[in-house]
Amino acid sequence: MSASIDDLSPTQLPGTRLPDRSPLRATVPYDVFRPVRITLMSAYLAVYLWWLRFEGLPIDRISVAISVGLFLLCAFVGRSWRTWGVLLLDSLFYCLMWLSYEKTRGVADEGIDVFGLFHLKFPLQVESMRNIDRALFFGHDPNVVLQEHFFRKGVVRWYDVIASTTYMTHFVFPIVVMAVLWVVSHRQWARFMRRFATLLGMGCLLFVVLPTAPPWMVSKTYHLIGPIQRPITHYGFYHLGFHGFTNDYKVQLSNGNAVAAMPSLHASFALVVPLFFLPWIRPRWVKALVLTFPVIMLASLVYFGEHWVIDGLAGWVITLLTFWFWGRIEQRQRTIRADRARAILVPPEPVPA
Amino acid sequence: MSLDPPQILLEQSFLVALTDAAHARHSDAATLYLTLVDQFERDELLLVAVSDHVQPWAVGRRKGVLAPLDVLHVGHQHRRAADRSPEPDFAVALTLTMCERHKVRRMATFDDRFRTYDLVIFPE
Repeated sequence: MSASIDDLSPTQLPGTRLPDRSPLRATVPYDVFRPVRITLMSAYLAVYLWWLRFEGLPIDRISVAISVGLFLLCAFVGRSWRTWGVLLLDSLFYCLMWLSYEKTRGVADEGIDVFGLFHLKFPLQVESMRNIDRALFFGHDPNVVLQEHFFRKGVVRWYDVIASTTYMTHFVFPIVVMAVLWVVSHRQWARFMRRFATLLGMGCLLFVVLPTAPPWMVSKTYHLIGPIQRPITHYGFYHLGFHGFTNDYKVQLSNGNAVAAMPSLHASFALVVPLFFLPWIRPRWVKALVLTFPVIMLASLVYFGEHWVIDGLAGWVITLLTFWFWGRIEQRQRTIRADRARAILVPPEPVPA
Repeated sequence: MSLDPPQILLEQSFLVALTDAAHARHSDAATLYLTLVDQFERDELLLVAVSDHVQPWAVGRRKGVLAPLDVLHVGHQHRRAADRSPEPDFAVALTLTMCERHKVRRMATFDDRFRTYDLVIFPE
């Protein structure tokens, strides 16, 4: 086994400063833009929180993109032109990703034209997911059971607040993580975006191939399960005094699709962030704690009648597959790069006569 | 806490020794580099170099011995900072500027001038 970097230098561990050495900070002039960036980002955060409290949570794509854009402007003040160029390219990719997602999701239920040759439209799944859920829960409909036991019209309980807040995090949580990673480490941002974009792509593919009626539609339109109250996702959040941004300003880029239930991207997004940061979390109890978040999200989605349980499980499975896939690709790329160096430096083994 | 693995900067003198098989320190450089490459492959560290230093190998760098390297691009602001540095040698000042601005604290070099700064230097 080869030595680690610290084995190579046992007396000079990171953080050990030898007394006769000059600190770099005394040699390299201070980056005067650093305090400017920190001040701007802090001010932005304060304004964002104020806005959140008094104007509501921006949840539509355009408002969120503007929020992220303003944050990045604050975070990149004084950076090199090249860094700004990279940021511009990243932003184009980011916008393209969301635009493709919204457009594909929007037309998924209408079918798609394949190179103008024929129209591909898959049958709407109305009963299949209900049947799978019933098989998983011994003949019960989890959506109906949860609403029967916990939902009271006109009354907002503590679990309504938790469920509603968890539901709303879907619109900002992954975006906040993207924005922070954008600033902290471009390498980690790229790793996150690969996984996230793949997840969106797989989601869109399944929306086209497997258009699925959500529980509330199966209840209200097809009457195949018991009564489901909807929409109730915002009750708890409104109870806290927060209001959505979209309804007030009518600025949105949402090509909503009522039958895009399979897979649940709410469930996927709730898993993607904890899963991404899991390798940096050491205590097992903290790992377990962060993984309760996707579980609460799925429970909330089922309680609100927005998704079947199987939608959420499928969302988790594609998330895990995406992480596995990119983990393998990234490892493979490192191995290829390492092998290229070894091929030149390590002499080939002599071939036995 | 950094999300990325520790970075080790391969300084110009190290790159020259590594890429020139006739160099007096080539063997030392290759031995250390192969160890670092193993750790790079295990995602335990990142190998970086200053863009000015890898300029001679710009063509085909990604397919050769320097394939594992990521490049820290020098901007005008870095040159201006190096210009204002108390370090008399501009090249040294620029390398130190890149280390400071990119939070690099480990360096592979055969240039003893870097040993006077609080960097962890390889080979010892």
